[in-house]
Amino acid sequence: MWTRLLAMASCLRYALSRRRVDEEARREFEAHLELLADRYVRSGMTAQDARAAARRQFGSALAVREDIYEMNSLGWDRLMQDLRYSLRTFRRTPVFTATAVLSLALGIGGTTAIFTVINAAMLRTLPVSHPEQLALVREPRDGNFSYPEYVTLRDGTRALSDLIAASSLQRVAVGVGDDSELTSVKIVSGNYFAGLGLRPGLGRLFAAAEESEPVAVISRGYWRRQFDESAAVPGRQVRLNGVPFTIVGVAPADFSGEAPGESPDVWASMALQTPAQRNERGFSWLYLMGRLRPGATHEQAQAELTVLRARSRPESTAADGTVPRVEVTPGANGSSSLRERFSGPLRVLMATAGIVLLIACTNLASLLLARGAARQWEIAMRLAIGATRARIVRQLMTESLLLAAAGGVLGLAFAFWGSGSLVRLASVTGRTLVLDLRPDARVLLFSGAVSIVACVLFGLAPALRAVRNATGRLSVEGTYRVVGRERRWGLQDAFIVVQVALSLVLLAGSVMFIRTLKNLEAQDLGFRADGVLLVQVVRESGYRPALSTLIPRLLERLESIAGVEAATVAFGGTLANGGGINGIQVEGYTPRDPQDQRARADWVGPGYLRTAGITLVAGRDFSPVDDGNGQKVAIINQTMARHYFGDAAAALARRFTFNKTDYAIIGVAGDAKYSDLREPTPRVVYFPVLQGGGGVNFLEVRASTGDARALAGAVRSAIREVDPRLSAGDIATLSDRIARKLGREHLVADLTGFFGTLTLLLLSIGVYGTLAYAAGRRTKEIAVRLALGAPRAGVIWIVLREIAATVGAGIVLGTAGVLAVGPLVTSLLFGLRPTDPSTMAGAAALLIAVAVLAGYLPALAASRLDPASVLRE
Amino acid sequence: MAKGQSLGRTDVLQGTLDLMVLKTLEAMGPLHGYGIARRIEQMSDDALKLNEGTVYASLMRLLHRRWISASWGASENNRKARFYVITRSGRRQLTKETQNWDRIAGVMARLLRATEPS
Repeated sequence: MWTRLLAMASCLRYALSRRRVDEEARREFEAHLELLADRYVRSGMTAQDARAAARRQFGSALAVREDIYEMNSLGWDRLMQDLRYSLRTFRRTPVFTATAVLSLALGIGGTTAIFTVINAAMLRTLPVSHPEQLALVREPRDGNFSYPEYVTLRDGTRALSDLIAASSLQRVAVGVGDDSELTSVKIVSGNYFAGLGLRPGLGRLFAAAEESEPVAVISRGYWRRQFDESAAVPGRQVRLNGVPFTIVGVAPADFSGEAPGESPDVWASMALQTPAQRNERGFSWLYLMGRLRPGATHEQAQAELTVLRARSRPESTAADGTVPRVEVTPGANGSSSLRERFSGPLRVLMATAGIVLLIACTNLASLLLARGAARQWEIAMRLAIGATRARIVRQLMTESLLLAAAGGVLGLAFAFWGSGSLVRLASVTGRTLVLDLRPDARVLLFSGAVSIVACVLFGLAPALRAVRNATGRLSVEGTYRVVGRERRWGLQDAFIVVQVALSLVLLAGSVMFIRTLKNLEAQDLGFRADGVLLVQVVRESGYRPALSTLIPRLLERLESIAGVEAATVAFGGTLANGGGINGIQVEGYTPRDPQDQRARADWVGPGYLRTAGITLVAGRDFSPVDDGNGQKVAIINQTMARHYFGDAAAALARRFTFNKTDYAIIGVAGDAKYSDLREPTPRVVYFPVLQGGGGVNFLEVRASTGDARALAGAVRSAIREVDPRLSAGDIATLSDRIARKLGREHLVADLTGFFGTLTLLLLSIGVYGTLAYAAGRRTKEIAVRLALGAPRAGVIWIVLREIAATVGAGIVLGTAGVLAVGPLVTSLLFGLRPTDPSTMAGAAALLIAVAVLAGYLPALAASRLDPASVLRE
Repeated sequence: MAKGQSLGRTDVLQGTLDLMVLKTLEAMGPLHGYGIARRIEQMSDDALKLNEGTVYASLMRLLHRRWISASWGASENNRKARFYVITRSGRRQLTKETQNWDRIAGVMARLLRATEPS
């Protein structure tokens, strides 16, 4: 064994110094020949004869030198030769090379990019201990729970060993020293870190008893940015919305929350909410996660929690005894509204990318097949001058692998760029998504495997066929075949049919998603979207202004700004999610089921409907008269009015009770989309913020000119002017908010549109290549036709006819495909059915147009032949 | 081989030529390529006529396997020449091959004698 290794080492040494060895051998042979010649001279020959005899005796010195040279090589030679030959071939057919590599790269890049994002958003498990024990606890209607509900469930559960709660990501003013900056904060329960089984990166994490203590944990990134990774951080004081908190530690490096896509900088305890806010039973704002005890099942936990919750809220039990369920589902991947919102689109995109990959492969296949057939002559020639079949096959294989390598590498580059862009597209304005996009082995393996398989399969198969068919005779094939198609439906045709079919499916899909987006944007939202500025209001440390004096002054100041048509305040604001309320008891109405007592809510300032552009169907808008003194009032929307009272007019002056308070309905507003642009407007009740409840988080300012952004500066200074302890936080327009809501529709429309354009490009190249080749094979026939007087237009038609049948078949197949898979994406569409005929007709027409356009060039070239010169050959 | 019978310029199997060269070096000590060729000529009583260049191919193979080693020296006519020397592993290989040949020769002899009609 050892000697073997040494032998291999010496082989390497010889390989590296082949030239020198060869030179030495030459000299050695020269010396040998001299000695031989000397011997012959001594036996009486002339010098010349002696030399000749010596050479005869020695044999061919060159042959031996070649032998020795070959012995000393490692097979590199052949590989280098093959590579150089392949590269030359590629350079000679740049269009083919570019198309093939690009096809592969785009297919692989697209698929891998999507796969990476899906991996990061959906498949990666949380970096916590025993993620498989985690379970998501959801409330089916709203998803969230109120704090009192959480406490009841946590204290009463036996199936779950830990039940943790976390809010959604909040933007909170965090004050370090004298500075204060808006930061991402999550409010979590005391057992949050313990429940997830995390260990601190520095200092310590929360203890369960500290739930109401002002303690906070910061993230790794925040620690680095704000504190320069100082070890003295545990124990430092910061101010969160004015309340002093103590940082107890830093979170572990790879932990970025229990919801993928979020990246909080600070985890704060429940002390960030006042006891009053916390104990608000009607306000659901917490996401729950639990850890199943060994032996407990999700169903058991579900049953237990449902009962617990129903017992704590007897009013939620329906007349027939059914209670709202609590859902418990596996949560190893973390809770994520991100995943819920995007899982549909991501799956569609994955299917799309898969289709593009398939199309790219069929494109490659038909290109390679055509090429293989065109190289018959070259292969026959090489066989004739003595190449072995194995050598030729090896060289063709090298070509395929080279293509695969180039396509794969470029594809990987596209993948990196692509997944970054995808995430940016999915990140809507202001809220960047943070996903761990490290490519993992699976993604790389997948891309590499696809690349190699595609090229080897589609490159080698036609090559092998070409080698097998090449008889070694240099016959000029088909020279005198005058009429007719060269072959019946061959493999190449099948590939084109498949490619056209897949392209149609993809195009139809992208048309559907683009139309969905357009439908969503064009619908009547119930409010006037353009020209409204949404300004977040940030309060200074610990400051609780008296709203009854602040709001009138603020609104007066705002409305005095030039260009402001109207201004108001809001807790959630238009199209935001202000919150859900439960426990509404309408006078004279018997609730039929527990859902009857729920509605969405918002707390708004005077003139809200006017500012937002919501129509007033009956009664009046809020005005400064609706303040803390006097009857509590509310405005309900049309849906709610119809639900409880039959029609809008009947709702006026009626009353309802909520949270032990009596409200009089003073107005009915037109339905305005509440938070989701797709869903029909839910029941909404607006409360005047001047009468307490909610709070002021946003200003809504309508610009008279329609350009809301221009007012930003003036509004900002107005706020400071009115109250120096307030400042403006995030500023956006209502149109921005709409765009954000439509983020995933934009994503899908943009990407499927992009992929659709890609497939059209691939298709046109494929058609061009096919027809160019076909026309090339039929030059003699075409020349004869032209010579016999056929019109040039007729020739164009003859060439185009070649693909007419295949494209037609492809469209038929594609239509069947759309009808089959269309219904799967119904949930993502809006305003149209997946089997909508105009969509398919449009996509088919586009496809045919592109195919004809692409085929026209080679057809035109064929019709421009000079018959005389062609036939002379 | 009977004396005087010529084998002609046959294609001596690579392996056997390598063996001959190795044996030559073992028996004669360090030799250059010309010397080896002469010795083989001598040993086969001039019956084995091979293209002398092939000896060098053989030497290269043996060098690869490290059964011989080479160094530069001066030949008879004071030219620089490469001298080849058998190595220890070369000697071991030679012994092994010799035993192998003997064994094969014995078996073949018995076989051939057995098929002769009695």
